[in-house]
Amino acid sequence: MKNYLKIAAILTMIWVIPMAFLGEVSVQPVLHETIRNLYWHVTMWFSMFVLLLAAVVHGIVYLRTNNSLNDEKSLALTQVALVYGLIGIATGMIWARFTWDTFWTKDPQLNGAAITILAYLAYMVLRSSISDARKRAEISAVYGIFAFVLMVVLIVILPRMQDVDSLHPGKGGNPGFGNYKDLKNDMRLVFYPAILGWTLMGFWMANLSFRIQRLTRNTNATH
Amino acid sequence: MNNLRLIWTWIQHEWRMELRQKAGIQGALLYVVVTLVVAYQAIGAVQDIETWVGLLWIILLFSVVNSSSRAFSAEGTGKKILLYFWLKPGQLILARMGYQMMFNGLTGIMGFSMFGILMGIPGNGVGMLVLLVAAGSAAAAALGTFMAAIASVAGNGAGLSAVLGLPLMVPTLMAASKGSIFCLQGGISQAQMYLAMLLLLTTLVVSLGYILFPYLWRD
Repeated sequence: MKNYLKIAAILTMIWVIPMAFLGEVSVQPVLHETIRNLYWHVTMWFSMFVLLLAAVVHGIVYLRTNNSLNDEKSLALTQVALVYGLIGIATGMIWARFTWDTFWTKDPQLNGAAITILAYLAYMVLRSSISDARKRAEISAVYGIFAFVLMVVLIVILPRMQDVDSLHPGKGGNPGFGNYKDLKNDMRLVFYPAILGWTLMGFWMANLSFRIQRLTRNTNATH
Repeated sequence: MNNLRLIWTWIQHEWRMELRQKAGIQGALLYVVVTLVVAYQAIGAVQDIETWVGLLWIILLFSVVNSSSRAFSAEGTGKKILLYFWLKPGQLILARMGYQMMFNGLTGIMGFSMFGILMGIPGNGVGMLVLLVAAGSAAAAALGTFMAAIASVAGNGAGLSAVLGLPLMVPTLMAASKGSIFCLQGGISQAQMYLAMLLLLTTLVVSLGYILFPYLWRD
């Protein structure tokens, strides 16, 4: 990973984290100060999606080139995306407890998120069940691509095609965040950099995890 | 054309093998009946439409997972090598998926009839419901077949293919159960939309399988 990207990640986080806690937010009924979770919860899903997309791209490249580096990168990216997904669920549950008065509801987006996490946990089980490295790389790349395409169908297309009521903003007749008349532009100035910052941090973490796994394997091989 | 005929020949061959062994088809049917009776013992006749549909699809889904997970487990190394030289990987997966889709579509309809006899049908539109059952079972079967292929190449049994497949079957389950609810409530046009959605999902799964299977099958 290029150094200027790391610097960009640090700078955005230095801007985002204090502003997320201290910056001015628009006051909404029910939401009140919990609207600050926008910077944590929503950004996690965006970043997770980008990371998973990158993981799938590495999977496709692996199938075309058989370069084991691509498989390891794909694994590291999926791991970080999974962590982001779990954080996304946790922050979402806390938010839901304060605004909808429950940790979990039958909401298409919640179900989609849960299914995605399950599918990628299954991906991890699949990986750990195969000992031969080349076979593992091939099979998990195939499953990864398959799961990603179906996840896109699940998250993007199905909730729009069926008239299920969602409690999420912008769905089921609820106003989207963009429709709040007094949504301060200050919030956009934190929200968009937060997406960028978390995504860059994700790539950085994946990069570190990839390098650690590679070093561990190489040192084990020489002993 | 030659391609299609080869696949069709292979589907017929699978069917003949199935009839010869008998255990597979008997097992699949018995699985549906046993689950049905167990559910009936546990819950009894259900009148509420949403619960009825939910129960129907859980039973159908598990029987599809159960029977499609056998799709790649039957052959030993010798037959694998034979298959490898006989069919292109794309042809093999299309034949297997096609066969499983037909098989599970039929067992799904049979299971649905038994379900209807035991539980009663709380609404109208039985014809549409049968179509939805066949399409939903077929969609899940195509996916289950691919997961069985993955699990078999990974050297793992039916347990893994259920873990891999069930989360990915949720879009199918959602479309199928929503469609069935609309159907029972008399909303045939909405049900038709969900039927079309199931067919689209099946097309997606089959084409993904056709594209990706050669990478699984190369060694």
